[in-house]
Amino acid sequence: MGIVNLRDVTVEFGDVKALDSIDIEIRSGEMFSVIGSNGAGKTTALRVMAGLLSPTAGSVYFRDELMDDSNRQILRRNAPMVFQKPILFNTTVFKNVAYGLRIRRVAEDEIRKRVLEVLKIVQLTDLQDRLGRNLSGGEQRRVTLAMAMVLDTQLLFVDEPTAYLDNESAEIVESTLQNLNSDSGTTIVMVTHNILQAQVLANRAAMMKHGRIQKMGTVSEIFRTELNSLLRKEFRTNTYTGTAKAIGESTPEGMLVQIELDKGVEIDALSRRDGSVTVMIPPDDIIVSRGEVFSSARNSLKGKIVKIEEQNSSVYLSVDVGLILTVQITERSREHLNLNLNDDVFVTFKASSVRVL
Amino acid sequence: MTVESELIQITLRSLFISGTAALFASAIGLPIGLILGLKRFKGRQAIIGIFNSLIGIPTVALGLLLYLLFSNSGPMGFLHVLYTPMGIIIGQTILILPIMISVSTETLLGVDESIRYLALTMGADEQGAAFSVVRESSGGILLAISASFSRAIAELGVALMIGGNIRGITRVLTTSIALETTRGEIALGLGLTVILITLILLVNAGLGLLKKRVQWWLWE
Repeated sequence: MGIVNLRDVTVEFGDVKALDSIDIEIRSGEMFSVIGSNGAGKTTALRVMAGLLSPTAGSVYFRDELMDDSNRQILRRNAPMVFQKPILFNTTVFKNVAYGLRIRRVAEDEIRKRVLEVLKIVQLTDLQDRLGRNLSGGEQRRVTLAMAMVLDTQLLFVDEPTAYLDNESAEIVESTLQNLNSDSGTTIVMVTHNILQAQVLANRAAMMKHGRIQKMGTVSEIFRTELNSLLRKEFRTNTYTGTAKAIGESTPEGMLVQIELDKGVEIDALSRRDGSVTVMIPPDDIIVSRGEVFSSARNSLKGKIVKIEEQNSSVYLSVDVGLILTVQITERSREHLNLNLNDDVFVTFKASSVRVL
Repeated sequence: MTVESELIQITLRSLFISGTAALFASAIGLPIGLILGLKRFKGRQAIIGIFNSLIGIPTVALGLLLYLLFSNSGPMGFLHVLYTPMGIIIGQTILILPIMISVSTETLLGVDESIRYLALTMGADEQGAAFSVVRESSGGILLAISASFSRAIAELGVALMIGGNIRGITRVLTTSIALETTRGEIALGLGLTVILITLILLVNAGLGLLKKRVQWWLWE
């Protein structure tokens, strides 16, 4: 039996079924990812697992013990959760990180030692006396991660670890999670809508849609056959594999590389490595125009609109530039540019917009 | 007695009466505010609505009701608090209680719910999590105390009708201002007004300075 088990768990908010009879087993020492688009029920599942939400029906087990209102604090004490929105107490970084240890009545000397160790890992030692809420979003996220890490628990829940972070902060957070899992053996359950992140970091994953588990298994099982179609249908993410070669000097942000993708399409990106890479280009980071745009953006490709889809208030254009590139624009932009099927367009994006893994 | 020493006495009496009323209102109102701000139960919104409405109760109306209650023939006449400082304290406590409850409730409701979840997931029990929420709203709670004190020391209706403006016993700043103005002593009335406003500003400034200190203390 796993370290945490959800059995036939249902969560209802009024008439809405956020979780519909799901079963998940988290195994000790693994990095487990819950993936799915917005509203799939990922965060609700994580909150149930972390003991922050009581299921309407079904059971939650932690180390084979059934959790209910009387003992749910045992689960919470042993499995902190890092929230998607970095929430901090209105005090210094140091005191925020020390909070959990003070609750556990750890000696002050030990608290100081452990807090400083963790702040070093998340590269925030210099900011320990600053008010946490005055830090940047990326720094705040690292503080919240440090708050959980300092407790040195065997289980950690993380909700969208790199949402809204710049590449540098995202890399620090990802490598911290990876090291925590591989070096300390901490079991990590991570919710993400970034399918690429799940693919790279997790051992196993569950894919959710409309409050149900659609698929669960090892990452390779889930992604082996369906990665591209999943990415396009569910997440509308531009993800490709290719070969990177350095074409510029190495900088703190990475080195400039040229990446040859399938079908001879070449793009420039900032990367920390060359050779075989996987790249992701967020659809909302791409500019579409009627004519070529002469700008500081290093990537400008000519293509043809082969598909137009509307979802919520966004319009998704599939542009054939050799590969199919999904571009997200507003309805107003589409009307303004009068974009229609089979129109020739240019797509432009910065090298720094390309995420390389 | 010189005018100066009488002025000092009136000022100190006002501070004592309204300060005590603010203290009583805090002792009663803050726990009620905590329950309304932190607990979810049926009828909570209705109770919050009632207290919000009571903020605007006219002081003379309250004064009259309390007068009828505390007068010798009234149901609580046996307390013998009419025309005593204690009578004004009780009246002002009742007057400012809705402010204390409403402002502290709203402050607690305004704290991001994630703070509670953060405390819980860090290992706090429900009480510890509630304390974290209260700590986050300490500034608003101080504001509730400051607003309540200001309302108490600046009101006239209760002090006049329950206190009776008896020289040396229940005369406070607001009743003195009213008296001096009716007697045509406009300059003295203005002087008393300046003292009253200065007092309110000083107390509020003091509470403002205390805010950071309280937050620091709560984190120690």
